Amino acid sequence: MDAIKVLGKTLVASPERRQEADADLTVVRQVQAGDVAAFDRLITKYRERVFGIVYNLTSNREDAADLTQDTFIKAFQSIQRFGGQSSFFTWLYRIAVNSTLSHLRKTRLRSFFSLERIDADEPVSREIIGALTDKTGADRDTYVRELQEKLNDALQKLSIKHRTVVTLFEIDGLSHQEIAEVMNCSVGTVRSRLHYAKQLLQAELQPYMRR
Amino acid sequence: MNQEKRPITLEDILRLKRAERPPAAFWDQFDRDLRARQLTALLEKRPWWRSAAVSQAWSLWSRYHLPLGATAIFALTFVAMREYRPTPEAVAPHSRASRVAIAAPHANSSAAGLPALESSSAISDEQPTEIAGEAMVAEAVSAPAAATLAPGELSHLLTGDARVTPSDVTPSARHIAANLAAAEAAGPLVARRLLTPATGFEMRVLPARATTTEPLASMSSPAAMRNSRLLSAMAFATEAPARSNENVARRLSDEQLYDSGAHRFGAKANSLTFKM
Repeated sequence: MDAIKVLGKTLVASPERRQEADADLTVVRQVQAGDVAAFDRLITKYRERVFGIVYNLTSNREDAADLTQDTFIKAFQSIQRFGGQSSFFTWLYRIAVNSTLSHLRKTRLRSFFSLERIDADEPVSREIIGALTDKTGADRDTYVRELQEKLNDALQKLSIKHRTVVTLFEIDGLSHQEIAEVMNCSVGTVRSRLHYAKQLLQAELQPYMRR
Repeated sequence: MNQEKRPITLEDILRLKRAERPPAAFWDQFDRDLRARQLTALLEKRPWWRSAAVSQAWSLWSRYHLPLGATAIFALTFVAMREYRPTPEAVAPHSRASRVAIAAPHANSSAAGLPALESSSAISDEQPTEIAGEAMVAEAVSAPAAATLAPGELSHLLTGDARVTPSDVTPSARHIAANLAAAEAAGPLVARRLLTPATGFEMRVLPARATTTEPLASMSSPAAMRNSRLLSAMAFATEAPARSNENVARRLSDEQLYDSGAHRFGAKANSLTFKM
């Protein structure tokens, strides 16, 4: 029965995801068997992605670090309950998103930014920044910093659910199906939230866009 | 030049967020902190309700929470409706006072029970002194007894339950009654002197108390009310036209009275009539 469920889930996922899920499941079985050190491999593999999702939801580096650690500790404590119905990374994402949403609800009135620097040497960001401005040197850094703050500000104006969908889809690259699993809602709901969130973001970031 | 013409979309701007990465030193600190917290979590004893077995059982039950809750509410409602019976107080809460008055004659027949408070009016000089003595005992006992009554007993007293038996009378009341009877037997003259003022006092005071009437008796019957209403309407009907005729005659001037087209004029002792 479990095998059918796993097959049903993996059919909608890409082959790379499926291979990844299988590899994760093997490590999880080792941890469940008592090999606690095997969990470190999962931490090393997913810490940046989990940090990324939490950071993009909170826009605060310190909160993101704490919540990422919480996520791994919760996952470690509950790993005996992981039955393999979904992939490990979906399960881990769900823990991270739920922890973050709970944290955001608690600290809704006292949120503030604590941003990481944009790595301007990365090819993709370099290309985008180059297309956005002709400025160089310190002026460019100032412009990028301003854009970064404006972008985070626009994201924080979204509701928590809309922000989560945009972050998971546009920044973390999850599919609609995966987001639906993580957020425990339908694919239609994910699409609808994504569309609405993008409309709002477009209205906020219009001055920085060029057609 | 080509880069300037490249359109910038929302997706491009959002992709910049991927480039927001912490430095490598951050991960060293992160690993150290996580290790420390992991060890703390390992040493920390988890409560039994958060153990894997309980959590699994709870998650299995979670799919039945809604139907079970609905069934419980339905069952509770059904039992509550089945067991519900309106109490007499709920049906007629205002009837308690009248019941006191109604129950008093029944209490008279009971041998000096506590509810005989209202029955003292029925005692006359001609009644045997035993009954009078017992009634006095009941009177004497009633005040302290009422002060020490439990709520249930008080309601029992107020409702004037006729099922009060002699065993309900307190031992002290019985003792006083016995003493009085003995005193009367030993010296009738002394006893009469002792009792006569009390009896006289009772006879002077109790008629005032006995004016308590039954609420239903004070109500007039519907037929009497209807009769009085009709009679009052008739009385108004006979007086009102005369008064209005006088008013009309007072308001009319002499010219109006005679020059207008009044072709028929009638005057009676108490009325004026015009026909135009």
